[in-house]
Amino acid sequence: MTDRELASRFPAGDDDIVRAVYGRYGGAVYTVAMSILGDPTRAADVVQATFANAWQASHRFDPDRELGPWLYTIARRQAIDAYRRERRTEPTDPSELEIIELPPSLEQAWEAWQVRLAIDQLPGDECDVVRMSWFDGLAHQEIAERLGVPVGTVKSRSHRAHRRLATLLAHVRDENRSESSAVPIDGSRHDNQDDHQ
Amino acid sequence: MNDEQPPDGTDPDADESESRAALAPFAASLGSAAVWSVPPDELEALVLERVRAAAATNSDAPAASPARVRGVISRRLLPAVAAAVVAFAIGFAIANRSDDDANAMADVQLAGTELAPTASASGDVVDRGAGYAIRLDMDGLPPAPEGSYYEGWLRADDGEMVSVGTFHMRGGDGSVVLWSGVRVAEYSTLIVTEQVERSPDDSHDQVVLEGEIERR
Repeated sequence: MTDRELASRFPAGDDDIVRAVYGRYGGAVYTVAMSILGDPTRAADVVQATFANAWQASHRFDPDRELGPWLYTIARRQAIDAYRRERRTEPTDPSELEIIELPPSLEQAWEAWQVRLAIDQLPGDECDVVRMSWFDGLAHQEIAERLGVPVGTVKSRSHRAHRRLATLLAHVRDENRSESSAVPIDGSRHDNQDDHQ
Repeated sequence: MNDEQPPDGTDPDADESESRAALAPFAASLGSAAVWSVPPDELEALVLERVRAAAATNSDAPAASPARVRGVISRRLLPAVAAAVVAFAIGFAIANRSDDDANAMADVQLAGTELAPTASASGDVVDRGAGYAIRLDMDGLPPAPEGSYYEGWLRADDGEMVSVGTFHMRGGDGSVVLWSGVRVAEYSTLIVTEQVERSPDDSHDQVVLEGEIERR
């Protein structure tokens, strides 16, 4: 089902459609929440709130727009609100209440969203190799040992995975190159500018 | 497993080096725990529950039907209307208030945040044709410090925000009227932030009051 079909059917709130939207974007929404909050329990709360709020606002969503950046905007807002709520409930010096900081990882949230969406499109075996390579910092030989497969298999999977991932993220790299670091924290360059104040 | 052979007869090491170089700008994200974090299995079911709950709440909500008392005035009421016009001319504010009350389309109750815990506000939203007047009676909101001011915002469920005006509370009787040129019915929340004058930072993070807009 295309994004446009998902967006147009989302307001009906059918379980299958909600599952489909969650299946496509749930991981990326969770990533945004984790990148801002760093806590699995609160990130899960943010994911629930994001989809509930998105559904409530879905009748106003223009299906000609991309569904992903819209969900990202809601997720980011929910995560920031959760972050601020937590900070405000902490016992703090009253003078510090004047400054409600933004989460330090906010600028990375948009890129994390894009990378997660790309990773979620990789086949499982390729995804494992990329994770072990970039996140665990393992060499091909170590990955082969961990997976119990020949090192040639790991090389082949890694080759395919990296080529695929580079293709999936090419547009983000191009945007970053052309627009520097001015915009990406809220994904607004992907949205209809009329929707941003 | 038959995928040990390099595809296309190419040198996979060389080709991967090229792809890796292309991914280098994303090294921080690819190495972050958040990107690789796995949502709990039960999260999908919880999301479904939340959406179902939201749907149930919406279906129980009263249909949007702003109360309007304006209508055709019969001839036999014209004298009364004339009298009303005189009264309107004499006591514009009172009459205007009465008309506003009839045209109020939503109620607003705001509670103070941790930045202004003793503050609150109540009011309504009136369709005045040219726009929506958001009439608030403030209670406990201190005057904005010199160099700062308060700003009202409508916020939609998706986080979109629209400014509805500014005020400072350094005088007056606590009543404030904000104005919206967008359809208030499409926004669920009214917030008030404290802003710094001429600050390059145009964020609206310092929320002092927040509350739902309850449609009548």
